[in-house]
Amino acid sequence: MARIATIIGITHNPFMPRLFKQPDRPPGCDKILERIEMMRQKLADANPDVLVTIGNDHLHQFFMDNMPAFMIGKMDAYDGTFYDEMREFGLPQCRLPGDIELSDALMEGAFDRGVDFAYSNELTVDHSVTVPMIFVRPAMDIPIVPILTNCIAPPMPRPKRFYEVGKAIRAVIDGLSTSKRIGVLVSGHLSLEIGGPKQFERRLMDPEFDASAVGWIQNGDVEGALEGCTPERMLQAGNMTSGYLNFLMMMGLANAARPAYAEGLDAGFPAIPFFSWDPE
Amino acid sequence: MSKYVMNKFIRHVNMNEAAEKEYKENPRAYVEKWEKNEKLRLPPPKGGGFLAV
Repeated sequence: MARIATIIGITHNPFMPRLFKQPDRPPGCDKILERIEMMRQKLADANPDVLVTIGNDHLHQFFMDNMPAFMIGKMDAYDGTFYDEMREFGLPQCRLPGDIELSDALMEGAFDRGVDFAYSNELTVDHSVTVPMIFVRPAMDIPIVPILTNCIAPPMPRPKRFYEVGKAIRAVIDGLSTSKRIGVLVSGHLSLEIGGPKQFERRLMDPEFDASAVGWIQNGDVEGALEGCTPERMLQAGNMTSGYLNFLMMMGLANAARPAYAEGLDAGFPAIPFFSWDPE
Repeated sequence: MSKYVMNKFIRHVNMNEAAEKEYKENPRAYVEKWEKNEKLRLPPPKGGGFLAV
């Protein structure tokens, strides 16, 4: 039987890797780096054989000419980072090993559970995958199965669907005959504004939403999360707050169990998410 | 649809180093070149100019 070795939820803020290297970095960075180191250690302790990475493409691989709602990569290796991300964020190019066997198993199993993933044999992953890996596994030596969601380009799947897809993936994993230890690495947002008038403001965008959003996960409160994540409320909290939907998928993967760690860190930036479900 | 085409063009220039360089050198000429391979058309520029980047 396959085992979920760990589930980790984390930011994919692409500005941070470069920010952390600056000698005059803002004081809040130390708190962020502490949490990242904690998550890195949790992943090392869990010692997974493969990582299911859940994130969202940022109009790099996909555009509105052909936009999948939920997609699985099916490759034995993935290139990471696009030209504009190297230019704007200073992110490095990278190459991540893949696990095609698990990609196929997840997709086939999901079909049987009412989830029709799109798939790609030519996938390049952007910062929603590479930045979390830089944070928690900079060696990038664990094969991945990337799952990408559309949580930024309306019309989007409903919050309930994100949770249901997470539940379906968990059910597939629980039913696999493989002995692999499967880790899950999810990236997303709490309240956040990108490209709007509040971008780059070094404060929590919507502390009330952030507290609720962390609380829903902390308490396994699926109904509260689904009621609280209306498009209007998420937009009010910031135009990219819908990145929180990836964490609803994470809740599904965790079967809404209470996490070992849940925090929306206030470090002088928009809230930075950190979640983990540790191995039993 | 014009907003979609504009976003498509911006994405194309943003993600492609050679396109970015060529567009900066001569925005009008690059837009015209790009449109030759597109079924959809950009809206006419307001004031007759293109955005300089």
